[in-house]
Amino acid sequence: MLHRSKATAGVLAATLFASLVGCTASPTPAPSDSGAPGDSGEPVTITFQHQFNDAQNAAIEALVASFETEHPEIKVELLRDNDSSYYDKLVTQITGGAGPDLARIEPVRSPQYIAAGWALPVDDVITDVDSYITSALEPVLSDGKLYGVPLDVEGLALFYRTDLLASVGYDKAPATWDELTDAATKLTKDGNHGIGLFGGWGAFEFYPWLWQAGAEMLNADGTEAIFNSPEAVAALQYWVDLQKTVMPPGMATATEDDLKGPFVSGSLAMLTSGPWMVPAMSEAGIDGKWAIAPLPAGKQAATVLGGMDLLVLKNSKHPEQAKAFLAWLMQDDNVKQYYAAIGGLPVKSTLYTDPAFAEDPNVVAFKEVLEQAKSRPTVAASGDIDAALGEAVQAALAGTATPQEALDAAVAKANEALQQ
Amino acid sequence: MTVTPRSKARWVPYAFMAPAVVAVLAMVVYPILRVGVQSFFDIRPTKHEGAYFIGFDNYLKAFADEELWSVLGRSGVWTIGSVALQFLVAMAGALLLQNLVGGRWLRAIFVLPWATPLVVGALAWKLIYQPNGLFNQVLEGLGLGHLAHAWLADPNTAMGAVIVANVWRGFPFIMILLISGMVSIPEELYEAAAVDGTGSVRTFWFITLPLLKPAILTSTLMALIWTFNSFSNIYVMTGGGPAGSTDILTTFVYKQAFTSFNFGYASALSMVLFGIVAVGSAIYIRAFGKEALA
Repeated sequence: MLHRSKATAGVLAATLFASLVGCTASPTPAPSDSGAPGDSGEPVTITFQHQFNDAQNAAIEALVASFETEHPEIKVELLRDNDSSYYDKLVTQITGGAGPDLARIEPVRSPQYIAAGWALPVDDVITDVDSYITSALEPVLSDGKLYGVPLDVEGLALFYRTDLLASVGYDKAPATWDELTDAATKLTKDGNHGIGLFGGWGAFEFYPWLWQAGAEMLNADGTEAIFNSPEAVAALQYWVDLQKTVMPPGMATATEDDLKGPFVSGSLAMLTSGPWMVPAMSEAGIDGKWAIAPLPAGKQAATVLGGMDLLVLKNSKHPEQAKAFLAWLMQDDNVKQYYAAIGGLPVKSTLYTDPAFAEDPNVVAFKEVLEQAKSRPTVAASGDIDAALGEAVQAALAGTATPQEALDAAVAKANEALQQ
Repeated sequence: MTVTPRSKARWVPYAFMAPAVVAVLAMVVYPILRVGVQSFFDIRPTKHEGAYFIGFDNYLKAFADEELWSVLGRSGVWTIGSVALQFLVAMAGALLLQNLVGGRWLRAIFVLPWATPLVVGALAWKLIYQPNGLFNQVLEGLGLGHLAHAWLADPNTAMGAVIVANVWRGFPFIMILLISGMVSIPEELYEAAAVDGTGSVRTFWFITLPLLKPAILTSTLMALIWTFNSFSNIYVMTGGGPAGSTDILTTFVYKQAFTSFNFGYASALSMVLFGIVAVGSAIYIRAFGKEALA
C-alpha cells in the first residue's frame, strides 16, 4: 500500500514537470496485470512501448502474433506512441514507478537510461552477442554487461543525384572532401545548391565529419570532452565554408524535411541520410537518377551509427516474460522477417550473407556504410554532450560564433556534465 | 421532518464545489507541494540512486548559474515583447471592429488564430519562416528580396520571429475582452462628449481607456502569465535554438529534467518560475490598482 501511494505520488510529481512547462501529460498506461506469473494458468501480459513507423509496426504486430501462438502463456501488448513527447512520457512513467516492460530507445539515450538503473541486464537470454555488429552493441553495454539489444541499425550515407553529378563530370559519388567541394561548387548556380548538411537535428549529422577529420569526442577513458581539438575545429570550419558557398541558406535549423523536396526536384544535388530515406526516394519518381554511397572521407572514412535499442525496464512486473519475448524476437529466423518486411538493415553481421539481403542493392550499399560507422559517446552524460555539440553546430552555421568559440563553449558544458 | 430550503442550502454549494476542489487539490496543490519538496533534494538517477536532502543547494546553484540569468532575460523579452505587441494589435483591432460596418463578421475571422490548435499554428509559422517560405516570398514580391532570410535559423532574428508568431496567436483573446469591455461603456458618455465637441483621440484617452481598465488588466495579466509559462510555441518552432537564442525558462527547465535527468534542480527552477509568476502578478495588479480587478 505504501509503495503504491508512493508510486502515485511520483507519477503526479513527475506529471507536474510536464504541466509546469506547459506540455500536456498524457495518461499513464496502466501497469501490466499483476499477480504471479503462471500460477493461475492465465496468460501474463507484457507491454511494449514503441515509436515504430507504419511498416515497422505492421512487421512487429505480425511477429507478436506468431510469438503469442508459440507462447500462449505470454501476451504482448504493443503501445504505439508517435508523439514527439515519447521520451518525456517514458521518463515520467519510469520515475513515477510505472511504465512498460519493454521499450524502444534511441542509442544516444540508452547509456543514460542504463546509468540511471532503469534497464535490466539481458545477457542471460541474449547469448549470441558475437553475431551482432560490434559498434551497435556499444550503447547497451555497461561494465561488460548487456542491458538491452539493438534491433534497428542505421548509418548516414551520401544520397546523390547521379544525373546532376554526371553533368559536372562525376560518374561516381565524390570520395573525398576535396572532390565534394569541387563537385558541389560546380553544381551551385542558378539557385541550385551542391549539398545540404543541417543542424536542425542537433549534432547527429555532424558527428561523421568530426570523425572524418580525425577528431574524437572524448578522451580514451571517457572522462573528458576533447571535441575542440584542431581537427574538430577544422571539421566545423569545413561545414561553415560549405554553408557560405554551396549549401542552401539557413542550414543551422533545417532538417531533412527541408531538403527532401529540393533533392527530388533537382535543385539540390546531395544530402546525407539513412536507410529510412530509401522508401521515400523509391516512390519519388526519380528512379535511376539517384544513388547511395559512403560519405566522402577526410583523413579517414567515418559515419555515425543510428538505430533503435530495446530495453527491458526495471519497473517491469514480468521481467522474465519480457526477456523471453526479446530473446525470441532476436532469433535469426524471426528478426529476419522484420528486416525483410521493412527493408531494414540487419543488426547481425551474420545475416548479410543470407540470400534475402545479399542481393538487395540498398542493403549492400549500406553494409559498406555501416562498416565505417562509429557510436556516439556512450557515457551517462551523452545526452548533455550531444546537446552541447548540437548547439555549437547551430551557432557556427548561423555565424554567431566561430567554430573555435562554439566548440570551446560546448566542450566546457560537456565537461561540466561529465563531472557532475 | 421537513428539510427547509435554508438548511438544504447549507451543504448544497459545498457539494457542487467538491469535485473542483478535489481536482485542484490533486492536480495543482499537491504537485506544487511535491515539487517544492523535491527542490530541496539532489535527484539525479544517472549519478546515484534515490534522493538526498541538500537544503538550498539547488537554489544557490540556480543563482550562480550564468546561463539561467541569460535565460531569464530572454524570458522577459519574450513575455513583455509578446504581450505589449499583442495588446497594441488587439486594441487597434477592437477599435476597428467596433467602428466598422461588418465588424461582427470580421470578428469571427480575427479570432481564428486563437482557435487554431497551438501546435498546428506553430508548425504553420515554422513553414512560413523557411528560407523558401511564404514570408520571404512576400518580401520578394514587395521588392524587398534582399531582406529574405532564414528567420528561425539566425540567432539574431529567431526571437523576433517566434514573438511575431505568438502575437498572431495571442492577440484575439485580448481583443475580445476589450471589445466586450467597450460594449459595456454607456453610450451616454460618448454622446455627452460629442455634445461638448470632444475629439476622438481625447474621447478614447479620457473615456474609453479608463473605463476599459478592468478588461485591460484581466486580459493582459492572463496573457503575461500564459506567455511566461508557455512552452509549446517555442518548443515546436525552434526547440530553444538556434544556439540557445530562444531558450526561455520553461524550455530550460524542460531540458534540465528531460535531457539531463537533473530532477532536483529542475524542481528548484520550477519553483523559481512559480515564484516569479506569483510575485510578478501581484505587482502588476497593484500597479493597476486593485479596484480594476472588479
